Amino acid sequence: MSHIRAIHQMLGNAGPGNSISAGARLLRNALREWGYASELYAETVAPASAWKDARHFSRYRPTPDDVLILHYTQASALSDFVRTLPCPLILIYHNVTPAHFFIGVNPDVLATTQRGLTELSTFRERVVLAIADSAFNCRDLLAAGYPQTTVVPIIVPETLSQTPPDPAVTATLAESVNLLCVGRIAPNKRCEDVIKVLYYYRQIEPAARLFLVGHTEYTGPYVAWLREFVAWLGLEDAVTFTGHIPDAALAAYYRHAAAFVYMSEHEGFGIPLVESMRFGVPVLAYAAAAIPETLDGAGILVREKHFPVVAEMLHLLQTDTGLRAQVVERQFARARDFAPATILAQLRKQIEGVLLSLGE
Amino acid sequence: MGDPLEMIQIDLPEIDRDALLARIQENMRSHNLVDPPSFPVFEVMSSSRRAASHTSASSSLEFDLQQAHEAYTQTWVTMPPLTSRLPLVGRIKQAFHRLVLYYVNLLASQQMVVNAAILRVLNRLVAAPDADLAALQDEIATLRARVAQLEASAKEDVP
Repeated sequence: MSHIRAIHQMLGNAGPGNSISAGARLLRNALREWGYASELYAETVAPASAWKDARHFSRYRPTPDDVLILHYTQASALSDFVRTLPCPLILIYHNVTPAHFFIGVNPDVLATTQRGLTELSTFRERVVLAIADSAFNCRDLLAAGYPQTTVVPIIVPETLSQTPPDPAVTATLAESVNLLCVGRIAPNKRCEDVIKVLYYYRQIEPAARLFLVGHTEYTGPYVAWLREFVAWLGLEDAVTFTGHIPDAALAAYYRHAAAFVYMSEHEGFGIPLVESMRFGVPVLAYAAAAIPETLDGAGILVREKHFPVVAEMLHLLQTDTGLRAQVVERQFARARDFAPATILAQLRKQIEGVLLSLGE
Repeated sequence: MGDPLEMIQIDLPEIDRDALLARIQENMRSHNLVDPPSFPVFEVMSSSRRAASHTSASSSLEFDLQQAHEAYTQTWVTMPPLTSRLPLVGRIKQAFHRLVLYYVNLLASQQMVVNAAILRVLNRLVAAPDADLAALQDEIATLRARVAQLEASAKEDVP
């Protein structure tokens, strides 16, 4: 029998719109149901009232009965703090975006991502279990010397797909064929390639528009260049950078999307893929990093970025209702693999297994 | 163009993949999509990105300086002209609008002169440590050579 009474989580940001913190919140609730004391500690806590239950990490006081779960995405003051704590650690590795994508884009992010990968190994002595949310991410853990690793997908809450869509946003989407790409606007996402797809697709479907939904902070020069690129192609009226938006607005974009186009070249998992599959939006995604693994045969993979071919594939998805229905049906089946209850059961098995070994 | 069979992967057993990709090829012929002259590349357009590959304080400085270079001329104000359903009122509003923009941009152009002067000073300040460093490195190399020479001659003098 284990002596562990509390399992707390440490994460970079806690707040609405942050996918890791939304999953961590579900895990915290589950840990409490499983009989452990459990709190969320974060480096940045959103001021929204709904998130007052997450605390700043400096308020954490370790006890001998604690195990900590560290959600790791980059080196930070939080990871430095956790390194000083005596508790056994469970590391959940969500991937560090390779630093080279941020050269000349943001020196601070460049530095934290560079440190992120080099410092990944520094927790090794205290980590009792290292979890990667994809087999792709697991490679980094193995390279960092973690002997005991396992793969459990990230928890993607189902609340978004149950959120009523914002009627004001819905009203703006009725007349057009809407392509959607969701995620932080960053160089690794290759948003310019999604814009290129739109450029060709508009020659087939002039009513097509593209919505790039996601944070534009931290990557200013890239976003500015993208805007210039859009203007250079004469697509100012067809491309919208929404910035970060509330869930109701995001639900509206998903509900009225003709397709989800993802040309990202580095994804540790690809949460928007799961969201698209849940909303029944056909996915066209570049086969890079963890994307093929997350889709696992669902959606349509782009093996080579030949944009006219991708545009024609989009056209077929729009005009061939039978094809579209089959793609969406396969996606729904894949999305069920990521049901939070399923993922939580996998996590429970892993966590309690390791706690038993600690008790011995 | 390569073979679409190689470019697109669909794993649906119910779908005749070859027939689907043949339709893509057929549609490509009929749509005859037009390429732009050539797509600009993010890395090429911002050539300073590759240079700033280190993460020291100087890379933050370079980044901020680059941002300042890109932003200092962007003080011009442009706004769509004011309109009105009444033609006479519309003309008066537009004339007023142009007058305001004229004086605002007059001020903006003076600000740009100041910005440019500040940037020139910053450029010199950033470049100065590099020049000093190069001179110091030269001096170190000269001194090392001199020490080596002295050590060699000292060994020769030992009986």
